[in-house]
Amino acid sequence: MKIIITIASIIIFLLTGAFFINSKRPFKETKSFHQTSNQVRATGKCIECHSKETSSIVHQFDQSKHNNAGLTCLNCHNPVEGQKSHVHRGFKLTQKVTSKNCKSCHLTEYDQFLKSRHAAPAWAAVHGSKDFTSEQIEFAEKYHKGAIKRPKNGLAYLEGRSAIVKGCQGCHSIGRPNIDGSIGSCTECHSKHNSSIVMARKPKTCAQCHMGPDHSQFEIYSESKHGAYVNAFSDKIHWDAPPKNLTTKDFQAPVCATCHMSGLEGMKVTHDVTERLSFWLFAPISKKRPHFQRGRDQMTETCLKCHTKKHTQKFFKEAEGVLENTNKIVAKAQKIVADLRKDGFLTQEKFDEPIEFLVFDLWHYFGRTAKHGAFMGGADFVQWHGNYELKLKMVELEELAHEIRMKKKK
Amino acid sequence: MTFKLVANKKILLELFIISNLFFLTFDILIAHAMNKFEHNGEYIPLYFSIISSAFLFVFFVFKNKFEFLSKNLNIVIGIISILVGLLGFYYHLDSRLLKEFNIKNMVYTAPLVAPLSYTGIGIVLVVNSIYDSKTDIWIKAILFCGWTGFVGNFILSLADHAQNGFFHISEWVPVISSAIAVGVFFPLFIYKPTKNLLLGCNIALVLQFIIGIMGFILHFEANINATGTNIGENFIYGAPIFAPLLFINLSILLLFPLSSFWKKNNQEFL
Repeated sequence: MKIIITIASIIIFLLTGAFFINSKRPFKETKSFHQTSNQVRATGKCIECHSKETSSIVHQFDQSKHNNAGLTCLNCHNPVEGQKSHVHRGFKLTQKVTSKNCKSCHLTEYDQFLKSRHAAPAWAAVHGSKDFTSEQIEFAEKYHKGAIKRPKNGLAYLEGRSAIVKGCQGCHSIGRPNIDGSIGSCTECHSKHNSSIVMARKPKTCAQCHMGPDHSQFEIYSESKHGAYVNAFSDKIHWDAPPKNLTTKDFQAPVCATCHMSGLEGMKVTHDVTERLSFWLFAPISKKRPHFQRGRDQMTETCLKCHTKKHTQKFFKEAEGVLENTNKIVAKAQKIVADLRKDGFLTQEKFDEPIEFLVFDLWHYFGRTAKHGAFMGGADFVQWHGNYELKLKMVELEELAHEIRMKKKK
Repeated sequence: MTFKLVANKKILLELFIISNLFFLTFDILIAHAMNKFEHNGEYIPLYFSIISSAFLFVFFVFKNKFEFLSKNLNIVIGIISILVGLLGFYYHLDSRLLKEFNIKNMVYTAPLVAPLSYTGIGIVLVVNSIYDSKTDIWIKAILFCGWTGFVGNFILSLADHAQNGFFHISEWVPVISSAIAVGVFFPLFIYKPTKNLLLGCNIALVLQFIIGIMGFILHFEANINATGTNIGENFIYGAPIFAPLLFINLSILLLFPLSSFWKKNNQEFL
């Protein structure tokens, strides 16, 4: 009897211990959460090597919401249709995660993104339409007429492949066509392994691309009251607040995402960053977008969270004044150059004569800066980096045009 | 006749140890190939298994000629084997668990107790060289090694299948089975072995044997059907093919002391 009790005690002790320890394991390391045994294994197996090799990605993933939600490396690296897969230490995976992988869970966000200028138009702005399928072109053209069915960027191609790869594509790959048929890369804003909403909301993340003389939104924002407030009270802002229930308590002043994307106090969240815009501000001559009123109404709704209607209307009216003035200057400058070409004083080649760079700088740098400054509350950018430069470049342009005509006449 | 039997038991055990050390070469080759032998230290058990089993085998064949040398060589190799096991245990601990002690690391670290198989083999080798197989110390020491082997098997099968989150319910079977072996054999240390207990031990060993074969088939099948680029890769990164064979191996080891217990029991009965 003693022997039987001893045997039973040991077996019960061991098995109870085993079941107990197993029950204390995190839910994501159990069968109930995953569809395959490989997914369970991936929760810990990948770290075995990657904590020594590329260790930062392990820490980034550790901090991510994906990790808290129980996802494993394999959830994102699982090859989807059309992707190249390879077997890596017993796991079949894709090395190149695209928006198609993200789409598996974030379909709405992907669909919104696809309609935005961050998608196909971003890539086409450099390479034209050649890399897209006819379906992709047709789809994107519905939302951005002429932004995909367009030739490659002449200036970029003049600068050469190395400039395109290390320069242009650094930003424009946000809308790259992927081998699996999807478009774009969510990780440009959210980072690869942290998949962070905090990062996507920080203005400096947008500043990876939206900075510099051609589209100085970050500099303008930093100078604006919005930027100053966020800078001063950054620690009071709930950077990781859930996007669908966002309130002004979380964001007492806006960042880029608040105005262009967030679902602030009941508004619809959108990954179509163009949805709330009303003018083609980046164009040489800015016209109303096709959905001008919808964009204006949605942006106004955001403004009204902090400002009165009267103040908001006045703000837009004044900004439109700057826009109209800039349009006039740019139109005048473009006409001067067009007349020179028409009269045979310029070659038909683009970017082979100094005056072409001058007119390009005028609208592409200073015209845009003045307009963006006006619509984003950046006074210094409306004046000194915008209108003053427009005036200066106009004088230089007229002088140069006169010289060209005189020189050729002689 | 008695002398012959005793001698045979020792010789059989020695052969068992040599074959174990030799077989560990392949086990290590697969296990450390997973890590692509990233650290030089991973070659230690590989080279040790090849060299030691070769030496042991040669001196086993010429045992009669070099009896003294053979005995001492066994002891030396046994001690080195114990050290290799302990060193491996430390390295496996150090791979993750010493850096951060938690259940996750215990599960996903290099199999902690696996290197201790060298320690077990070393102890068996030393004991078998020094003591006569009729002595209590020989019987108890071999029993202890076999029993701790099943304790290790319990931990290994628990941790290894926990990596899969016990995705298939059958993955609990080896855990339960090794717990039974640990439980059934433990009374042999503290109680006088009765016929029923020895019978229970025999049944437990048969069970381990069956579980070992079933496990081997299941692991083999899992690797054949895995999605790797080639079969070889499946066997490296998939289910450890040799792991279930440890059940069979330990069962054979425990047959040595068990047969001694049976013999004693029968003598007392007579």
